[in-house]
Amino acid sequence: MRALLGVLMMAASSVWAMEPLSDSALSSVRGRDGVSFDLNGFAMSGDARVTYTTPTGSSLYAEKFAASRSDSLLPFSDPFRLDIVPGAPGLADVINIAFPVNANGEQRWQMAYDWGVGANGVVREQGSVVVKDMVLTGGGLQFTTPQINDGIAFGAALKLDIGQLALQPRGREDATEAMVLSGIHIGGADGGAWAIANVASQPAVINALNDASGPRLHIGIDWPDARYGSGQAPAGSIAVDNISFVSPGQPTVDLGSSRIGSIQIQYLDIKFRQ
Amino acid sequence: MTFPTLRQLLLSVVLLCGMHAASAQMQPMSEDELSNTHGQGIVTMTNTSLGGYDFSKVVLEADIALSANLRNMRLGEYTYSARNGGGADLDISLMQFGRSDGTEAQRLVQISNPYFEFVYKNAADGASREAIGMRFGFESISGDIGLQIKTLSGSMRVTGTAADGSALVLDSRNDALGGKRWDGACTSSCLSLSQLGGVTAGDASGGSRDFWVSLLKTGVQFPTAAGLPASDPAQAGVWLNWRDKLQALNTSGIAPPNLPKGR
Repeated sequence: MRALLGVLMMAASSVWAMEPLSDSALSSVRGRDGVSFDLNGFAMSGDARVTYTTPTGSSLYAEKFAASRSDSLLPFSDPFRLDIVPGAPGLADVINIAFPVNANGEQRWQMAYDWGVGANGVVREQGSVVVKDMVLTGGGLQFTTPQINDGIAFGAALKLDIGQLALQPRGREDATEAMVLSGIHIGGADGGAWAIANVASQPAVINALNDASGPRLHIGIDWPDARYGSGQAPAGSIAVDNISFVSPGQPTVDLGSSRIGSIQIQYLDIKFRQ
Repeated sequence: MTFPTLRQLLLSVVLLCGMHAASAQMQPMSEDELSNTHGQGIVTMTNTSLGGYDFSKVVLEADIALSANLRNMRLGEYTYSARNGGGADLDISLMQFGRSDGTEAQRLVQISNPYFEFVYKNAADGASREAIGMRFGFESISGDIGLQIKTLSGSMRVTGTAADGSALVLDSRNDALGGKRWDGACTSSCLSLSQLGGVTAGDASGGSRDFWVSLLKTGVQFPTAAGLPASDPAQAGVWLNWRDKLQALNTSGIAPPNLPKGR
Protein backbone atom coordinates (compact mmCIF):
# COMPACT_ATOMS: atom_id res chain seq x y z
CA MET A 1 0.00 0.00 0.00
CA ARG A 2 2.84 2.39 0.87
CA ALA A 3 4.55 1.49 -2.39
CA LEU A 4 1.40 2.31 -4.35
CA LEU A 5 1.07 5.64 -2.60
CA GLY A 6 4.68 6.40 -3.39
CA VAL A 7 4.16 5.71 -7.11
CA LEU A 8 1.03 7.89 -7.18
CA MET A 9 2.82 10.75 -5.46
CA MET A 10 5.70 10.54 -7.93
CA ALA A 11 3.25 10.60 -10.79
CA ALA A 12 1.49 13.59 -9.24
CA SER A 13 4.76 15.43 -8.85
CA SER A 14 5.60 14.78 -12.48
CA VAL A 15 2.20 16.25 -13.43
CA TRP A 16 3.12 19.34 -11.45
CA ALA A 17 6.27 19.50 -13.61
CA MET A 18 4.16 20.12 -16.73
CA GLU A 19 4.21 23.70 -18.01
CA PRO A 20 1.91 25.41 -20.50
CA LEU A 21 3.41 25.82 -23.97
CA SER A 22 4.08 29.29 -25.25
CA ASP A 23 2.56 30.30 -28.60
CA SER A 24 5.87 29.91 -30.37
CA ALA A 25 6.47 26.50 -28.79
CA LEU A 26 2.93 25.47 -29.67
CA SER A 27 3.31 26.52 -33.28
CA SER A 28 6.30 24.23 -33.69
CA VAL A 29 4.39 21.16 -32.49
CA ARG A 30 3.10 18.94 -35.28
CA GLY A 31 1.52 15.56 -35.15
CA ARG A 32 2.68 12.85 -37.52
CA ASP A 33 -0.18 11.05 -39.15
CA GLY A 34 -1.18 10.06 -42.62
CA VAL A 35 -2.73 7.42 -44.78
CA SER A 36 -1.03 4.63 -46.62
CA PHE A 37 -2.48 2.30 -49.19
CA ASP A 38 -0.86 -0.79 -50.58
CA LEU A 39 -1.93 -2.34 -53.86
CA ASN A 40 -0.69 -5.72 -52.75
CA GLY A 41 -2.05 -8.40 -55.09
CA PHE A 42 -3.92 -5.84 -57.19
CA ALA A 43 -5.43 -7.02 -60.46
CA MET A 44 -8.23 -5.78 -62.70
CA SER A 45 -9.72 -6.66 -66.05
CA GLY A 46 -13.01 -6.28 -67.86
CA ASP A 47 -14.77 -4.99 -70.93
CA ALA A 48 -15.11 -1.37 -69.83
CA ARG A 49 -14.74 1.20 -72.60
CA VAL A 50 -13.95 4.92 -72.33
CA THR A 51 -14.89 7.01 -75.37
CA TYR A 52 -14.07 10.64 -76.06
CA THR A 53 -16.37 12.12 -78.70
CA THR A 54 -15.79 15.50 -80.31
CA PRO A 55 -18.62 17.87 -81.22
CA THR A 56 -18.10 16.88 -84.86
CA GLY A 57 -18.70 13.22 -84.02
CA SER A 58 -15.19 11.79 -84.34
CA SER A 59 -14.14 9.66 -81.41
CA LEU A 60 -11.23 8.07 -79.60
CA TYR A 61 -11.79 5.05 -77.40
CA ALA A 62 -9.83 2.78 -75.10
CA GLU A 63 -11.29 -0.45 -73.78
CA LYS A 64 -10.70 -3.79 -72.11
CA PHE A 65 -8.24 -2.48 -69.57
CA ALA A 66 -6.22 -5.09 -67.74
CA ALA A 67 -3.66 -4.40 -65.03
CA SER A 68 -1.93 -6.43 -62.36
CA ARG A 69 0.94 -5.90 -59.98
CA SER A 70 3.50 -8.18 -58.43
CA ASP A 71 4.34 -7.51 -54.81
CA SER A 72 7.15 -6.81 -52.43
CA LEU A 73 8.65 -9.80 -50.64
CA LEU A 74 7.18 -8.38 -47.43
CA PRO A 75 3.50 -7.69 -48.20
CA PHE A 76 2.23 -4.21 -47.20
CA SER A 77 5.78 -3.13 -46.33
CA ASP A 78 6.13 -0.49 -49.06
CA PRO A 79 2.83 1.31 -49.65
CA PHE A 80 1.79 4.55 -51.32
CA ARG A 81 1.76 7.19 -48.58
CA LEU A 82 -0.52 10.20 -48.34
CA ASP A 83 0.49 12.88 -45.85
CA ILE A 84 -0.17 16.51 -45.13
CA VAL A 85 3.27 18.06 -44.84
CA PRO A 86 4.38 21.62 -44.11
CA GLY A 87 4.98 23.77 -47.16
CA ALA A 88 8.10 25.82 -47.74
CA PRO A 89 8.33 28.93 -45.51
CA GLY A 90 5.47 31.26 -46.31
CA LEU A 91 3.63 28.68 -48.43
CA ALA A 92 0.58 26.56 -47.69
CA ASP A 93 0.74 22.99 -46.42
CA VAL A 94 1.01 20.30 -49.05
CA ILE A 95 -0.84 17.06 -49.72
CA ASN A 96 2.01 14.72 -50.54
CA ILE A 97 1.51 11.33 -52.21
CA ALA A 98 4.75 9.37 -52.12
CA PHE A 99 5.01 6.38 -54.41
CA PRO A 100 6.51 3.15 -53.04
CA VAL A 101 10.29 3.25 -52.72
CA ASN A 102 10.41 -0.07 -54.58
CA ALA A 103 14.20 -0.13 -54.31
CA ASN A 104 14.46 -3.70 -55.55
CA GLY A 105 11.89 -3.31 -58.29
CA GLU A 106 9.67 -6.04 -56.89
CA GLN A 107 6.48 -4.09 -57.52
CA ARG A 108 6.01 -4.60 -61.27
CA TRP A 109 2.97 -3.69 -63.31
CA GLN A 110 1.61 -5.57 -66.30
CA MET A 111 -0.98 -3.65 -68.32
CA ALA A 112 -2.89 -3.81 -71.58
CA TYR A 113 -5.73 -2.04 -73.33
CA ASP A 114 -7.26 -1.87 -76.80
CA TRP A 115 -7.95 1.39 -78.58
CA GLY A 116 -9.38 2.83 -81.74
CA VAL A 117 -10.19 6.00 -83.68
CA GLY A 118 -13.52 6.84 -85.28
CA ALA A 119 -13.30 9.63 -87.85
CA ASN A 120 -14.05 10.42 -91.48
CA GLY A 121 -16.79 7.82 -91.51
CA VAL A 122 -14.47 4.98 -90.49
CA VAL A 123 -13.89 3.34 -87.13
CA ARG A 124 -10.36 1.97 -87.09
CA GLU A 125 -9.35 -0.47 -84.42
CA GLN A 126 -5.73 0.28 -83.61
CA GLY A 127 -5.10 -3.00 -81.81
CA SER A 128 -3.61 -3.33 -78.34
CA VAL A 129 -1.05 -1.55 -76.24
CA VAL A 130 0.75 -4.07 -74.05
CA VAL A 131 3.03 -2.93 -71.22
CA LYS A 132 5.27 -5.43 -69.46
CA ASP A 133 7.23 -4.96 -66.26
CA MET A 134 6.57 -1.31 -65.55
CA VAL A 135 8.45 -0.31 -62.40
CA LEU A 136 7.95 2.96 -60.54
CA THR A 137 10.81 3.69 -58.16
CA GLY A 138 10.08 6.48 -55.72
CA GLY A 139 8.75 9.78 -56.95
CA GLY A 140 5.25 11.03 -56.21
CA LEU A 141 2.72 13.83 -56.45
CA GLN A 142 2.11 17.04 -54.49
CA PHE A 143 -1.03 19.17 -54.32
CA THR A 144 -1.59 22.54 -52.70
CA THR A 145 -3.05 25.99 -53.33
CA PRO A 146 -1.32 28.10 -55.99
CA GLN A 147 0.98 30.95 -54.95
CA ILE A 148 -0.90 33.15 -57.43
CA ASN A 149 -4.19 32.75 -59.35
CA ASP A 150 -6.86 30.14 -58.77
CA GLY A 151 -6.82 26.44 -59.33
CA ILE A 152 -4.69 23.63 -57.98
CA ALA A 153 -0.93 23.74 -57.74
CA PHE A 154 0.83 20.44 -58.10
CA GLY A 155 4.22 18.84 -58.31
CA ALA A 156 5.30 15.56 -59.86
CA ALA A 157 8.46 13.48 -59.69
CA LEU A 158 9.00 10.33 -61.69
CA LYS A 159 11.41 7.46 -62.06
CA LEU A 160 9.94 4.91 -64.42
CA ASP A 161 11.32 1.84 -66.12
CA ILE A 162 9.32 -0.27 -68.56
CA GLY A 163 10.54 -3.66 -69.68
CA GLN A 164 8.58 -3.57 -72.91
CA LEU A 165 5.88 -1.48 -74.52
CA ALA A 166 4.37 -3.02 -77.64
CA LEU A 167 1.82 -1.69 -80.10
CA GLN A 168 0.22 -4.90 -81.34
CA PRO A 169 -2.21 -4.12 -84.17
CA ARG A 170 -3.64 -7.66 -84.22
CA GLY A 171 -4.51 -7.70 -80.53
CA ARG A 172 -2.88 -8.47 -77.21
CA GLU A 173 -2.78 -12.20 -77.86
CA ASP A 174 -0.82 -11.82 -81.11
CA ALA A 175 2.68 -10.49 -80.51
CA THR A 176 3.99 -11.69 -83.89
CA GLU A 177 3.04 -8.33 -85.44
CA ALA A 178 4.18 -5.36 -83.38
CA MET A 179 6.16 -2.20 -82.93
CA VAL A 180 8.19 -2.93 -79.82
CA LEU A 181 9.98 -0.49 -77.52
CA SER A 182 12.17 -2.41 -75.10
CA GLY A 183 13.83 -1.00 -72.01
CA ILE A 184 12.22 2.42 -71.56
CA HIS A 185 13.85 4.50 -68.84
CA ILE A 186 12.50 7.88 -67.69
CA GLY A 187 14.01 9.64 -64.70
CA GLY A 188 16.39 12.31 -63.52
CA ALA A 189 19.57 12.84 -65.48
CA ASP A 190 21.40 12.16 -62.19
CA GLY A 191 19.81 8.71 -61.89
CA GLY A 192 17.17 9.61 -59.31
CA ALA A 193 13.57 10.72 -59.80
CA TRP A 194 12.92 13.54 -62.26
CA ALA A 195 11.13 16.41 -60.51
CA ILE A 196 9.13 17.67 -63.48
CA ALA A 197 7.39 20.15 -61.19
CA ASN A 198 7.60 21.06 -57.50
CA VAL A 199 4.99 23.04 -55.58
CA ALA A 200 7.64 25.39 -54.17
CA SER A 201 10.64 25.55 -56.50
CA GLN A 202 8.83 25.15 -59.83
CA PRO A 203 5.09 24.80 -59.37
CA ALA A 204 2.69 23.39 -61.90
CA VAL A 205 -0.91 24.54 -61.95
CA ILE A 206 -4.22 23.44 -63.43
CA ASN A 207 -7.06 25.94 -63.65
CA ALA A 208 -9.46 27.75 -65.96
CA LEU A 209 -8.32 31.03 -67.46
CA ASN A 210 -10.26 33.60 -69.39
CA ASP A 211 -8.93 35.19 -72.53
CA ALA A 212 -10.45 36.77 -75.61
CA SER A 213 -11.90 33.41 -76.68
CA GLY A 214 -13.53 32.76 -73.30
CA PRO A 215 -12.66 30.36 -70.48
CA ARG A 216 -10.00 27.81 -71.32
CA LEU A 217 -8.61 24.81 -69.48
CA HIS A 218 -5.04 25.67 -68.59
CA ILE A 219 -2.12 23.54 -67.42
CA GLY A 220 1.27 25.08 -66.84
CA ILE A 221 4.68 24.77 -65.20
CA ASP A 222 6.11 28.05 -63.97
CA TRP A 223 9.70 29.25 -64.20
CA PRO A 224 12.02 27.83 -61.52
CA ASP A 225 11.97 29.92 -58.35
CA ALA A 226 15.39 30.55 -56.81
CA ARG A 227 13.78 31.45 -53.46
CA TYR A 228 12.92 27.79 -52.93
CA GLY A 229 15.59 25.97 -54.92
CA SER A 230 18.56 26.31 -57.21
CA GLY A 231 16.71 28.48 -59.71
CA GLN A 232 17.39 25.85 -62.37
CA ALA A 233 14.89 23.41 -63.85
CA PRO A 234 15.77 19.82 -62.90
CA ALA A 235 17.16 17.77 -65.77
CA GLY A 236 15.48 14.54 -66.78
CA SER A 237 16.40 11.93 -69.32
CA ILE A 238 14.61 9.45 -71.57
CA ALA A 239 16.21 6.34 -73.02
CA VAL A 240 14.90 3.39 -75.01
CA ASP A 241 17.25 0.43 -75.21
CA ASN A 242 15.79 -0.90 -78.43
CA ILE A 243 13.05 -0.16 -80.97
CA SER A 244 12.05 -2.86 -83.43
CA PHE A 245 9.26 -3.94 -85.76
CA VAL A 246 8.33 -7.61 -86.00
CA SER A 247 6.05 -9.13 -88.63
CA PRO A 248 5.28 -12.73 -89.61
CA GLY A 249 7.34 -13.76 -92.64
CA GLN A 250 9.38 -10.54 -92.65
CA PRO A 251 12.83 -9.83 -91.23
CA THR A 252 12.78 -7.87 -87.98
CA VAL A 253 13.52 -4.18 -88.49
CA ASP A 254 15.89 -3.18 -85.69
CA LEU A 255 16.22 0.57 -85.13
CA GLY A 256 18.57 0.20 -82.17
CA SER A 257 18.54 2.45 -79.12
CA SER A 258 17.46 6.06 -78.72
CA ARG A 259 17.95 8.57 -75.93
CA ILE A 260 17.69 12.17 -74.89
CA GLY A 261 20.43 12.70 -72.33
CA SER A 262 19.02 15.83 -70.71
CA ILE A 263 15.62 17.51 -70.77
CA GLN A 264 14.96 20.72 -68.85
CA ILE A 265 11.43 22.09 -68.94
CA GLN A 266 11.91 25.69 -67.80
CA TYR A 267 8.41 26.93 -68.59
CA LEU A 268 5.33 25.31 -70.05
CA ASP A 269 1.93 26.83 -70.65
CA ILE A 270 -0.83 24.78 -72.30
CA LYS A 271 -4.18 26.39 -73.09
CA PHE A 272 -6.76 24.05 -74.54
CA ARG A 273 -9.24 25.37 -77.06
CA GLN A 274 -12.89 25.12 -76.28
CA MET B 1 -51.30 13.42 -45.76
CA THR B 2 -52.49 16.87 -46.77
CA PHE B 3 -49.12 18.57 -46.31
CA PRO B 4 -47.14 16.31 -48.67
CA THR B 5 -49.83 16.70 -51.32
CA LEU B 6 -49.59 20.47 -51.02
CA ARG B 7 -45.80 20.31 -51.38
CA GLN B 8 -46.16 18.16 -54.45
CA LEU B 9 -48.65 20.61 -55.89
CA LEU B 10 -46.36 23.57 -55.21
CA LEU B 11 -43.42 21.71 -56.74
CA SER B 12 -45.44 20.93 -59.84
CA VAL B 13 -46.41 24.58 -60.20
CA VAL B 14 -42.80 25.69 -59.83
CA LEU B 15 -41.66 23.14 -62.39
CA LEU B 16 -44.39 24.14 -64.83
CA CYS B 17 -43.46 27.80 -64.40
CA GLY B 18 -39.83 26.92 -65.00
CA MET B 19 -40.66 24.92 -68.11
CA HIS B 20 -42.83 27.73 -69.38
CA ALA B 21 -40.11 30.29 -68.76
CA ALA B 22 -37.52 28.10 -70.43
CA SER B 23 -39.65 27.40 -73.46
CA ALA B 24 -40.58 31.06 -73.71
CA GLN B 25 -36.91 32.10 -73.73
CA MET B 26 -35.67 29.53 -76.23
CA GLN B 27 -35.75 30.66 -79.83
CA PRO B 28 -34.86 28.75 -82.96
CA MET B 29 -31.56 29.88 -84.48
CA SER B 30 -31.50 31.31 -87.94
CA GLU B 31 -29.41 29.66 -90.65
CA ASP B 32 -26.81 32.42 -90.29
CA GLU B 33 -26.61 32.00 -86.52
CA LEU B 34 -26.42 28.26 -86.90
CA SER B 35 -23.57 28.48 -89.40
CA ASN B 36 -21.62 30.63 -86.98
CA THR B 37 -21.98 28.10 -84.20
CA HIS B 38 -19.40 25.38 -83.89
CA GLY B 39 -18.08 23.08 -81.25
CA GLN B 40 -14.50 21.95 -80.88
CA GLY B 41 -12.95 19.20 -78.84
CA ILE B 42 -9.78 19.17 -76.79
CA VAL B 43 -8.66 16.36 -79.07
CA THR B 44 -9.49 15.89 -82.74
CA MET B 45 -9.06 12.73 -84.79
CA THR B 46 -8.60 12.02 -88.49
CA ASN B 47 -8.51 8.77 -90.47
CA THR B 48 -6.97 8.96 -93.96
CA SER B 49 -5.32 6.68 -96.50
CA LEU B 50 -2.50 7.42 -98.97
CA GLY B 51 -0.19 5.30 -101.07
CA GLY B 52 -1.45 2.00 -99.69
CA TYR B 53 -1.07 3.07 -96.06
CA ASP B 54 -3.73 4.00 -93.51
CA PHE B 55 -3.19 6.91 -91.16
CA SER B 56 -4.91 7.71 -87.87
CA LYS B 57 -4.07 11.14 -86.48
CA VAL B 58 -4.78 12.35 -82.94
CA VAL B 59 -4.32 16.10 -82.42
CA LEU B 60 -4.30 17.97 -79.11
CA GLU B 61 -6.14 21.22 -79.82
CA ALA B 62 -4.03 23.53 -77.69
CA ASP B 63 -1.79 26.58 -77.75
CA ILE B 64 1.50 25.95 -75.97
CA ALA B 65 4.26 28.31 -74.86
CA LEU B 66 7.51 26.54 -74.04
CA SER B 67 11.01 27.17 -72.78
CA ALA B 68 13.06 23.98 -72.69
CA ASN B 69 16.53 22.63 -73.30
CA LEU B 70 17.21 19.21 -74.80
CA ARG B 71 20.78 17.95 -74.91
CA ASN B 72 22.60 14.88 -76.20
CA MET B 73 19.81 13.51 -78.31
CA ARG B 74 20.70 10.40 -80.30
CA LEU B 75 17.78 8.70 -81.96
CA GLY B 76 18.01 5.51 -84.03
CA GLU B 77 21.41 4.09 -83.08
CA TYR B 78 21.85 1.17 -85.46
CA THR B 79 24.21 0.28 -88.28
CA TYR B 80 23.26 1.74 -91.65
CA SER B 81 25.59 0.21 -94.18
CA ALA B 82 25.05 2.76 -96.97
CA ARG B 83 26.48 5.51 -94.71
CA ASN B 84 26.79 4.84 -91.03
CA GLY B 85 27.98 8.38 -90.30
CA GLY B 86 27.86 9.15 -86.59
CA GLY B 87 26.04 5.89 -85.87
CA ALA B 88 22.60 7.41 -85.31
CA ASP B 89 19.82 8.69 -87.57
CA LEU B 90 19.56 11.89 -85.57
CA ASP B 91 22.48 13.16 -83.53
CA ILE B 92 21.50 16.52 -82.05
CA SER B 93 23.74 17.77 -79.27
CA LEU B 94 21.49 20.74 -78.49
CA MET B 95 17.89 21.68 -79.19
CA GLN B 96 16.60 24.56 -77.10
CA PHE B 97 13.20 26.13 -77.31
CA GLY B 98 13.48 29.86 -76.62
CA ARG B 99 16.39 32.17 -75.84
CA SER B 100 17.30 34.36 -72.87
CA ASP B 101 19.42 37.03 -74.59
CA GLY B 102 16.61 38.76 -76.47
CA THR B 103 13.19 40.20 -75.81
CA GLU B 104 10.66 38.83 -73.35
CA ALA B 105 8.70 37.29 -76.24
CA GLN B 106 11.81 35.51 -77.49
CA ARG B 107 12.08 33.60 -74.22
CA LEU B 108 9.29 31.32 -75.38
CA VAL B 109 8.47 29.26 -78.42
CA GLN B 110 4.81 29.13 -79.45
CA ILE B 111 3.46 25.74 -80.50
CA SER B 112 -0.03 24.85 -81.71
CA ASN B 113 -1.69 21.47 -82.00
CA PRO B 114 0.88 18.80 -81.21
CA TYR B 115 -0.12 15.45 -82.69
CA PHE B 116 0.63 11.77 -83.06
CA GLU B 117 -0.11 9.96 -86.31
CA PHE B 118 -0.06 6.18 -86.51
CA VAL B 119 0.59 4.35 -89.78
CA TYR B 120 -0.77 0.92 -90.68
CA LYS B 121 -1.14 -1.33 -93.64
CA ASN B 122 -4.48 -3.14 -94.02
CA ALA B 123 -5.92 -1.20 -91.12
CA ALA B 124 -9.42 -2.52 -91.74
CA ASP B 125 -8.44 -6.17 -91.28
CA GLY B 126 -7.60 -7.17 -87.73
CA ALA B 127 -5.97 -10.41 -88.94
CA SER B 128 -3.51 -8.85 -91.40
CA ARG B 129 -3.15 -5.34 -89.95
CA GLU B 130 0.50 -4.26 -89.92
CA ALA B 131 2.21 -1.60 -87.82
CA ILE B 132 4.37 0.60 -90.06
CA GLY B 133 5.25 3.28 -87.52
CA MET B 134 4.24 6.70 -86.31
CA ARG B 135 5.16 10.35 -86.30
CA PHE B 136 5.01 13.17 -83.76
CA GLY B 137 4.78 16.79 -84.81
CA PHE B 138 3.37 20.28 -84.39
CA GLU B 139 0.86 21.85 -86.75
CA SER B 140 2.55 25.18 -86.04
CA ILE B 141 5.71 26.31 -84.28
CA SER B 142 7.16 29.82 -84.12
CA GLY B 143 10.06 31.37 -82.27
CA ASP B 144 13.80 30.94 -81.88
CA ILE B 145 15.11 27.39 -81.55
CA GLY B 146 18.81 26.89 -80.82
CA LEU B 147 20.19 23.91 -82.73
CA GLN B 148 23.43 22.02 -82.97
CA ILE B 149 22.94 19.07 -85.33
CA LYS B 150 25.78 16.65 -86.00
CA THR B 151 23.86 14.14 -88.10
CA LEU B 152 20.52 14.58 -89.80
CA SER B 153 18.25 11.97 -91.30
CA GLY B 154 15.48 13.99 -92.76
CA SER B 155 14.30 16.74 -95.00
CA MET B 156 15.31 20.19 -93.83
CA ARG B 157 15.65 23.58 -95.48
CA VAL B 158 16.92 26.74 -93.82
CA THR B 159 17.70 30.07 -95.42
CA GLY B 160 20.46 32.29 -94.09
CA THR B 161 22.55 35.33 -94.80
CA ALA B 162 26.32 35.32 -95.17
CA ALA B 163 28.57 37.99 -93.63
CA ASP B 164 28.71 39.76 -96.99
CA GLY B 165 24.94 39.85 -97.17
CA SER B 166 24.56 37.11 -99.77
CA ALA B 167 21.86 34.50 -99.40
CA LEU B 168 22.71 31.04 -98.13
CA VAL B 169 20.62 27.90 -98.09
CA LEU B 170 20.88 24.66 -96.15
CA ASP B 171 18.94 21.98 -98.00
CA SER B 172 19.13 18.24 -97.38
CA ARG B 173 17.84 17.69 -100.91
CA ASN B 174 21.37 18.47 -102.06
CA ASP B 175 22.62 15.32 -100.34
CA ALA B 176 23.32 12.46 -102.75
CA LEU B 177 21.82 9.91 -100.33
CA GLY B 178 18.58 11.81 -99.90
CA GLY B 179 19.33 13.18 -96.46
CA LYS B 180 19.90 9.87 -94.63
CA ARG B 181 22.70 10.14 -92.02
CA TRP B 182 23.77 13.46 -93.59
CA ASP B 183 26.51 15.43 -91.84
CA GLY B 184 25.35 18.64 -93.49
CA ALA B 185 28.59 19.28 -95.33
CA CYS B 186 28.28 21.27 -98.53
CA THR B 187 30.40 23.21 -100.96
CA SER B 188 29.99 26.55 -102.72
CA SER B 189 27.61 29.21 -101.40
CA CYS B 190 25.56 27.12 -99.01
CA LEU B 191 24.90 26.86 -95.31
CA SER B 192 26.24 23.72 -93.64
CA LEU B 193 24.80 22.06 -90.54
CA SER B 194 27.96 22.94 -88.61
CA GLN B 195 27.35 26.63 -89.34
CA LEU B 196 23.79 26.46 -88.08
CA GLY B 197 23.37 27.72 -84.51
CA GLY B 198 19.61 27.74 -84.62
CA VAL B 199 16.57 28.85 -86.55
CA THR B 200 13.77 31.35 -86.33
CA ALA B 201 10.66 29.34 -87.12
CA GLY B 202 7.71 31.09 -88.73
CA ASP B 203 7.29 34.61 -90.01
CA ALA B 204 4.81 37.45 -89.88
CA SER B 205 2.25 35.33 -91.71
CA GLY B 206 2.33 32.51 -89.13
CA GLY B 207 4.30 29.63 -87.73
CA SER B 208 6.27 26.90 -89.43
CA ARG B 209 3.79 24.15 -90.32
CA ASP B 210 5.74 21.00 -91.07
CA PHE B 211 7.84 20.02 -88.05
CA TRP B 212 7.59 16.30 -87.40
CA VAL B 213 9.73 13.32 -86.43
CA SER B 214 8.78 9.86 -87.64
CA LEU B 215 9.69 6.34 -86.57
CA LEU B 216 9.13 3.89 -89.41
CA LYS B 217 9.94 0.36 -90.53
CA THR B 218 9.78 1.41 -94.18
CA GLY B 219 9.58 4.59 -96.22
CA VAL B 220 6.22 6.40 -96.13
CA GLN B 221 4.66 9.37 -97.90
CA PHE B 222 2.69 11.17 -95.20
CA PRO B 223 -0.47 13.14 -96.01
CA THR B 224 0.15 16.78 -96.88
CA ALA B 225 -0.62 19.51 -94.37
CA ALA B 226 -3.11 22.18 -95.41
CA GLY B 227 -1.53 24.94 -97.49
CA LEU B 228 1.77 23.16 -97.94
CA PRO B 229 3.29 21.26 -100.86
CA ALA B 230 3.71 17.50 -100.42
CA SER B 231 6.48 16.69 -97.98
CA ASP B 232 9.42 14.53 -99.04
CA PRO B 233 8.78 10.83 -98.34
CA ALA B 234 10.05 9.83 -94.92
CA GLN B 235 12.68 7.10 -95.00
CA ALA B 236 12.79 4.11 -92.67
CA GLY B 237 14.25 4.69 -89.23
CA VAL B 238 14.05 8.01 -87.39
CA TRP B 239 13.35 10.91 -89.76
CA LEU B 240 13.03 14.66 -89.14
CA ASN B 241 11.01 16.84 -91.50
CA TRP B 242 11.24 20.64 -91.21
CA ARG B 243 11.31 22.93 -94.22
CA ASP B 244 8.61 25.57 -93.83
CA LYS B 245 9.59 29.16 -92.95
CA LEU B 246 12.98 28.55 -91.32
CA GLN B 247 15.55 31.36 -91.13
CA ALA B 248 19.03 30.75 -89.69
CA LEU B 249 19.73 32.59 -86.43
CA ASN B 250 23.38 32.89 -87.44
CA THR B 251 26.11 31.20 -89.46
CA SER B 252 28.55 30.84 -86.57
CA GLY B 253 27.19 27.52 -85.35
CA ILE B 254 26.76 28.97 -81.86
CA ALA B 255 23.36 28.55 -80.21
CA PRO B 256 22.08 31.50 -78.16
CA PRO B 257 21.77 31.06 -74.38
CA ASN B 258 18.49 29.86 -72.91
CA LEU B 259 18.66 30.43 -69.17
CA PRO B 260 15.61 30.41 -66.92
CA LYS B 261 13.86 33.66 -66.13
CA GLY B 262 14.74 34.74 -62.61
CA ARG B 263 11.96 35.03 -60.03
